[in-house]
Amino acid sequence: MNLPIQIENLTKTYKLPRGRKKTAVDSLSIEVPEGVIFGFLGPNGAGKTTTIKIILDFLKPTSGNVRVFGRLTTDPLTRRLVGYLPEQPYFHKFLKPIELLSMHAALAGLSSREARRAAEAALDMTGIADYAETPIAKLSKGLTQRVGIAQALVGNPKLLILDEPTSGLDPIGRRHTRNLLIRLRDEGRTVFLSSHLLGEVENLCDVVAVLRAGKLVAYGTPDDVRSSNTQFKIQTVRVDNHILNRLRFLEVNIECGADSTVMRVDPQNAYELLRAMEKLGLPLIKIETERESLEEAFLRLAA
Amino acid sequence: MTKVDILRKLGIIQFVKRMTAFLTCVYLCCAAGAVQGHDDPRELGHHWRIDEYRSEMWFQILLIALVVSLYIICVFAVRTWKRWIVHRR
Amino acid sequence: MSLLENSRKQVFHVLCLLMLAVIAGSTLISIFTEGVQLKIIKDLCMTCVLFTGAVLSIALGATGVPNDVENRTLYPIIARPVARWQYVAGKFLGTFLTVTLGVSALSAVFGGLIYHYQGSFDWFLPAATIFALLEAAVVAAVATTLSTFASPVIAASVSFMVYLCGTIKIGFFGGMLDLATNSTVKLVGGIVYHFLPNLECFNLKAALVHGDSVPTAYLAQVAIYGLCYTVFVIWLGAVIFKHREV
Repeated sequence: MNLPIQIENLTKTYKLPRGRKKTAVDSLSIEVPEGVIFGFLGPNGAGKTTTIKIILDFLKPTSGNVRVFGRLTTDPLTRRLVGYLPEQPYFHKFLKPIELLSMHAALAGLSSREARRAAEAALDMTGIADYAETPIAKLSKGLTQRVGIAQALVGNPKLLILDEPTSGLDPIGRRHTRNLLIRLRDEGRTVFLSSHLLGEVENLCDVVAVLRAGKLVAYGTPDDVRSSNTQFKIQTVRVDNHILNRLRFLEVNIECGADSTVMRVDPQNAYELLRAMEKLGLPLIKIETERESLEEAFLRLAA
Repeated sequence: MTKVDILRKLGIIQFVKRMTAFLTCVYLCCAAGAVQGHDDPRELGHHWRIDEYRSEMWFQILLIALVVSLYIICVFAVRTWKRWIVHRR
Repeated sequence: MSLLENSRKQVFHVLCLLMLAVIAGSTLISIFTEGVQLKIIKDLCMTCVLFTGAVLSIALGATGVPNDVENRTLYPIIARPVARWQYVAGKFLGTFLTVTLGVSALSAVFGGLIYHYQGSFDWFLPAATIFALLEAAVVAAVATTLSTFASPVIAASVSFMVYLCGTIKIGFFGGMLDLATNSTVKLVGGIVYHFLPNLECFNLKAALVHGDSVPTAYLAQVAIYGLCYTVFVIWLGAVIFKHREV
């Protein structure tokens, strides 16, 4: 089966002045399954945008292979199945959204009548049908971003490559975009998104890949990427240091707040800690299990 | 501030002066060209009467054809060589 | 798209209006007798048409691709199933259509003037305009190709040099080359000479002014030459842009 994106041993080296070289992507191998939302994560300069540019044939790989639906990216027809939203999209300001979208639909191979219809549908989907006839120069940043998303949607793409799709959107716009991406995934399309908003990615993505300095450091479902360690979070009243020191016989992480103390401990030590608290007469306010968030995992992996 | 001062400040007088000089130059050049009465087709700009123009045009068309052919041959050779290397591996 | 973008540029409006002013100003010359005055008007107006075509081609052609790269409007377009050569060809066609718009407007005013002074329409004017447009196409192709890899300033400067050298190629440049004695200068100069476009041959001003007829075979040869040169230069631009990383 032809996967939407198949990257094999991809390396991209930039030549710098005075014969120096910089490796932006280093031996990267990823497979993006069909019908999923794929999160492509990494700190600034990790090589995300370079990889996206190679997938779209804006840049040539130094070595390795990239295939989109089984075809080499050098073939322009490969991009017939792809919709792309660049980071901070810029469009010709004098165009109206309906004109811009019709043009992109025509470039995607639709006839002029179909292009107009596809443009209207995309504007409806992104919730900006009311601004169809307003020149892009007069739209706010968030609305321009939505025009960008609509632009990526025209031409019925099977693969959407979105670079920071929720950047510049207000909470309503973000919620709308998130629901739209889920709807697109449910329709069987593949969404490849690069984002820094990890809270959103965590709830949205089926598969994530984390890059650091051009290398793949984690790949799998968000659950796979997060540490499997679960901790107990135990909350009690604010206590003095000499009492706290009596609890430090266990590997316990203690945070003192203004009116309470929070302790984090591994499950095997939780019972011991609770017994020690009972002996010291410390009341138990709250106890809950806690798992590493994707953001914490990202910080751990990207550090 | 007088009207002339405003125009000078906006640079309009300078602009008009420069444009007048430019237009005068254009007129004089064209007038001189048009009233030339030489019999030499080169001087009159009658290039269709000069063989050198025709031959140079044909030469350049052949040169273009040669460059394009060389490029196609080179691309074909490089592709074949690459395929041969992959096949050998 | 490029047509819409280019026709909004200031240089297009300013140059067209300026040249219209020059054409209108030419009627003010009344110091010559009637026949000579008409010749001067034709000469001046045809110069304006040729000059506008070339300058617009350079100004619009040299900025098209770099502006798209700089403003990042290029990315959503080439992310579509559009080959790089199609993009370069589209940019060239956009520039050429804008130039055609401006030059046609000037030529129409010019035709009106001739009709006013001559009492009849000069049927050679459309032919002279078409060849002026062919010259503009060659210059626009050079500017577009240079803009695929150079900055707008360098692309415009080199295109203008090519335009200047091309308009004096055989008449002046060829003569200078014959006078050269150093063999290296002769060789390098010869290569440059043979690759320079021969823009003089598109200039039919003299025929229009003097009412001479130009052999049809010659016009056909010039048309073929112009098309071949334009296609060749755009092809070069497409090959360069295909390998360029954006």
